[in-house]
Amino acid sequence: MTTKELLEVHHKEAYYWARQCCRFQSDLASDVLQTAYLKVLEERARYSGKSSFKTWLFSVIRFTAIDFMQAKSLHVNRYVVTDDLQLMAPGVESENGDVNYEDMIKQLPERQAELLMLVFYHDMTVEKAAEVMETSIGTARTHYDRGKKKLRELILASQLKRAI
Amino acid sequence: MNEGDKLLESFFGTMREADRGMAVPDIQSFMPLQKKVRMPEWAAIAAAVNIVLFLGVVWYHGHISQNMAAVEPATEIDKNLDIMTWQTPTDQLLSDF
Repeated sequence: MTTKELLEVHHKEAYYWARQCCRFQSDLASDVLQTAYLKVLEERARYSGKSSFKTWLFSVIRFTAIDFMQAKSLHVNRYVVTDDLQLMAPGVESENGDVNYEDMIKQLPERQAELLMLVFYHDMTVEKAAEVMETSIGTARTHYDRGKKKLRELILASQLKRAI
Repeated sequence: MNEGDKLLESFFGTMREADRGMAVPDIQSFMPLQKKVRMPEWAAIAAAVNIVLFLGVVWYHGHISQNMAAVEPATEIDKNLDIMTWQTPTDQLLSDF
């Protein structure tokens, strides 16, 4: 399979991932994905075959998104660990009372959100997710556990609010 | 899988379902454009005219320098030949007397 064919196979998931890395900003995600594809096709990012193509592509997209977000100064709380959760925060639910998934994810620290997305949304193992994020498995597990705990609390708070 | 994980599975499952309704732009719109480099007709004509003019100038200069070489005296003596063979109108008087 050629690189272009592999990109076509993973395009849909790559688009969703780019969007998630850009905090659900579709326009920015399109720019990120275009730049990432260009890097791949021009071999500025080389696939060595150590991991699966999808894992590697997701990693390229993530780092491209980080560059874009930093350039746009939207990445302010990237390394800030926010332990204080804003439970029942505005924006978690839409006007008609439906759960706004994206706003809920946005309330998590970025790396925790990314870890959860990779594992639960993109069906990766924590080990694969650690590869995408180029971090150790230990660090990935910490982000994963903290993220799970916080998101669970957010979901329960949202459910409680709707019940009331 | 514990109860908490099931809750998250359900959350992301519903999120995935919601995303399926979202339009994903075609991959071609993300691919770099492969422009066909085609010279416009006017550029081809201009290039041909330039080449003809250039060759004409080269030929002209070559021709002129060739003619100059044929006219120019070869040596310093040849250059002074006219002066050396010049005779005054009253030159025969010298030999008569």
